[in-house]
Amino acid sequence: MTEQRRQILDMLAAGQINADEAERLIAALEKGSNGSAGTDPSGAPKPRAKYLRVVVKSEDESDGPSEVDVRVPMQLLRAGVRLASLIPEEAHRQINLELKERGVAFDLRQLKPENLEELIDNLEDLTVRVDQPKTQTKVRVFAE
Amino acid sequence: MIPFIATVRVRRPRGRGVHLWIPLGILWLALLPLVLVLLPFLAVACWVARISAVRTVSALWSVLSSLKGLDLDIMQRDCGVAVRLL
Repeated sequence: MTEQRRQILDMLAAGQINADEAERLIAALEKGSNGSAGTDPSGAPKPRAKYLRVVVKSEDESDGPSEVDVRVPMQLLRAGVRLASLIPEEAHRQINLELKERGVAFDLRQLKPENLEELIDNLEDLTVRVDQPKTQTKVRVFAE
Repeated sequence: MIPFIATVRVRRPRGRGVHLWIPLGILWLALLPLVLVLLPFLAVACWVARISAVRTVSALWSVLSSLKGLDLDIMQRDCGVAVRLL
């Protein structure tokens, strides 16, 4: 029995939480541990994503509906990160400075292929809705 | 493996659309002499920027070889363009 599970049961025994809350906490704990091990709820290892898909659907009052669907191979993203690692130090400094001036405090040198893998592993399905006066845009980013 | 075929599909509101199969192998062969001419310049540029020329060529090759599978589809009302690298 894990330490966290024991703590939940102790809290239940002490009357700090009721049975429903304890069940919910244990379920969340199990879900979290499954996610970190890279498996789906059935216990099978999660297949590695091969493509990053970006789908942009826009509904404009004057231009009508439009859709952009881009499927980028993960290999291309990794190659891009590898290429970015070759950027000379001086260029890195200038890029970081420009980013900082625009309010993005991000150091490009910190971007490693492992970070990209981590991002993709945790990116399941991200949807962003952009509402403007005459346009409604939905951006969906997911790995497949 | 670098992509050897590109397909371009154009959809129109009226009439038949266009579906093209472009053999990229011919394009790569045509560009090969140009690449060979540009290689010394790349080597000099890498030397000036103090980065490894071998690593640069390897990274550029990995970008080119991972283009396979890239898929771009743009639709606006009844018109659309789809490009796929195979």
